[in-house]
Amino acid sequence: MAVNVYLWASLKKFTNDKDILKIEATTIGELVSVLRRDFPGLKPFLDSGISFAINGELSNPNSNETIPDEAEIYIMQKLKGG
Amino acid sequence: MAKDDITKSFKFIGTRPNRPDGFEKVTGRAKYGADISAVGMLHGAVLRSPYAHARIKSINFEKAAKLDGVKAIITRDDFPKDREGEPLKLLENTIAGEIAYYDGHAIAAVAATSVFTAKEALKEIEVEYEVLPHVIDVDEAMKPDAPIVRENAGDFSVPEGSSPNVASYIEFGRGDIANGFDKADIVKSGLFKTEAAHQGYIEPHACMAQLDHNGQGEMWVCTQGHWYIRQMCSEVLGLEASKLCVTPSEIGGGFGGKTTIFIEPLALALSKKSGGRPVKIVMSRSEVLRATGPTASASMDVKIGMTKDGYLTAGCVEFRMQGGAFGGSPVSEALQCAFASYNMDAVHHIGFDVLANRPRAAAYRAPGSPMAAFAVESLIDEMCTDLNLDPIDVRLKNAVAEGSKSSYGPKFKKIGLIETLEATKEHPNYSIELGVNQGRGVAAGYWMNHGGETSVSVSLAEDGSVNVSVGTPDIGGSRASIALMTAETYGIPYDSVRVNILETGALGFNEPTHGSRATLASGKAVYEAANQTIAEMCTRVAKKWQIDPDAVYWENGYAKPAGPNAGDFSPISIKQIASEMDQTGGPIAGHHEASIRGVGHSFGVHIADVEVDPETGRVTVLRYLVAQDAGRAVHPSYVEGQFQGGAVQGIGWALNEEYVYGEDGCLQNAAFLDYRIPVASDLPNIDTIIVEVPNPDHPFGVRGVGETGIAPPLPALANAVAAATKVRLRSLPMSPTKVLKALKTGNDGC
Repeated sequence: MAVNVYLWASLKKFTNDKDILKIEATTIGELVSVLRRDFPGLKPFLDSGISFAINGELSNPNSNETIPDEAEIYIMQKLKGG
Repeated sequence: MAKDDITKSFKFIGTRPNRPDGFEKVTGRAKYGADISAVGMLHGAVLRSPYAHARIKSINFEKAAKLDGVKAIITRDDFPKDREGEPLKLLENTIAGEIAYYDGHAIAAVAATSVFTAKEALKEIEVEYEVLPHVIDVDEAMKPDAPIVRENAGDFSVPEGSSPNVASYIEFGRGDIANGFDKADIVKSGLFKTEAAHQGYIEPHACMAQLDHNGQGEMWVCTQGHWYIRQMCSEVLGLEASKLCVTPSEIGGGFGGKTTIFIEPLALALSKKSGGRPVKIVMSRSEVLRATGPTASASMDVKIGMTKDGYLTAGCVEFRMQGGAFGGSPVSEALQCAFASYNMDAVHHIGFDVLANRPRAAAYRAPGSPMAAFAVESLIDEMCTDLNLDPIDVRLKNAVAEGSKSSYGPKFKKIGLIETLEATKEHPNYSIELGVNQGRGVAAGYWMNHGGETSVSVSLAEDGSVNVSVGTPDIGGSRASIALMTAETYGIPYDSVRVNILETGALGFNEPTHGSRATLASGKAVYEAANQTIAEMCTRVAKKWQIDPDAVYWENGYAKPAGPNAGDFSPISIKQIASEMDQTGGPIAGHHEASIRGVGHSFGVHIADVEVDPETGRVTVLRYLVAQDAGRAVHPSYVEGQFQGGAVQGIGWALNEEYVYGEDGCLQNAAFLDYRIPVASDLPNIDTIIVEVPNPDHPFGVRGVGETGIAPPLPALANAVAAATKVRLRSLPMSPTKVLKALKTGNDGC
């Protein structure tokens, strides 16, 4: 199953100048593993504390969460609320 | 005006019962951070840097240690030396190592048998400093010849060639920006600036800590998130997290500023060094202002295109925000909020998190959103004025709705911006005639809200009343709203529910009360836990009736047969079930632990009417209206209070509040006498409209309501002042001095 991953443009330097990635993954854990494997430059970003928006729903990372096929996934910095 | 897709009619939700913490607070019995004491307790005091940037050449505390009553003195040498990453930044901000990075940076701490002795001992500590060049202003910090705050502080994101004071960089957007501006009939740009503002909570930071030589300890602390306190202190001190038990006190305001650590590791280290005696530290107001996190100051370039009939065609922002000496400005969130209210095909965002010789920024109510709103909503207002367009109509034309792609990417689910704009336009405040030197300003604001890690439990007492245990400190009425949701779930009176906020050993990990999440997240978790207990009660009643559990349902506090086929049984009350628990299988309790999903985005629209005195420059707020989508107002009085509180803090930020630094880089106004937050006599009544577009992903339709209210006041006030004076101020605060200067020169120099 493939999902579409949208990254901030400032991360393109780590992803061969792409800010939209097509990734084969069925869970968030798999997705993060693929990103780490294929784009090692993203490691400090992924380690820095991130949030996901999966088909519009904002959430903390849950590596066991199943991702719908063709899901639209945004990876963002972890929210700091007041 | 409610647009109600959740068809349940509620019995308790939407009512306004007495607050459960009210009696203790008005009688003075509520225990805040400084109210705790223990046998053998010592008092801590902190020595702070008098310089904005200085190398610490030596610290001599021999004389201080000899004072009668002094039991422990700590410096950075008493902390682990192998920290790195975020724990190292937390440690550095807690107590300076080789370098003091800002005025007020902790250098050493003393524990003594009295506060007086501890403070006397501070005077006897001799510190030799080598003063270093400093930088305070965010734009100055980005110049090529600026003093370097910390070497090699930039992270992976910083582009090559950036200033050494850039800690991180972010860029995102979509669409054809050039084409978007080509489609516009008018393109405007501007530089906007805001100063750092403090959260201004009434209760200063306070804690009491005890730590044994074996790493087992306890802490009592005023905080928004005691699991965060436990986690951060454990990481800084190298403790095993489960051995540190943290109990939250009542809290006299936080607004984001109490989601991190300042004095807590110092109290623990002092306790350990004094042989495990409890140590209490209470900050003074001056210490709070000098050494705890305000929000960032910001310098923001904005460019927007608009058609002559008011449609937005493109927008670009570049935000530069200083977050103190260790980074951490909310520039990412500011960018996400900048154009979030509007449908725009082409947007581009750039952000810099910049270091300066100031205390590390902490979260402050919708972090970043107020600055972004000030810049974007001010410029949109200028364009509405230029094109003679109604500012609410323009926002309605561009407003995001369900299915809109947000400016930062994800699509919105059900949201209520349009309903909020419509409610604002219909309110009488929008049509009241204005007089000489008076003006009206309109602005919108956004906050995404948050779910977060949450753990709760619910237990049935033997008399049928209910105990709810949560881990989110009550800073804005969450005990009342959670009790109402619990009462609604069971169908029992509000007074039969007690909500307790437990210490870290009693529940799983809970994120703080931040991101407007307590009522949404803990409420959703409590709903799940309560339904576990209802299922258990139905099961026990089914056994009693010798029928299938599915043939029993719950209604208004009773287990009932599901229909004629289930049998002819009299309903059994929660009281009876509870009284028989010990005979039917033992205690009945439910738990729910999750990263809570189903966050509902929040939008607000404000109208400010002001009068500007042309002789003094003083801005008087005549009228103020807050309209905001609450999803569902569980306790409307608390929701109104959140709206009003956000507006008041925003008014202060817009008109008076700022950190004033001298040439020496030291804070000049570290007291409420000089750091001017609004008081009741400065303000009119804040009118409110609670718009209810229920969040479909919450059992009661709840959205967070705490934060959005602080974003629109900054531009609403600026737009009102511009309407009153025909002069646009693009920097905050709009203090009398600045307004008067702008009236004379035609601008504020920004």
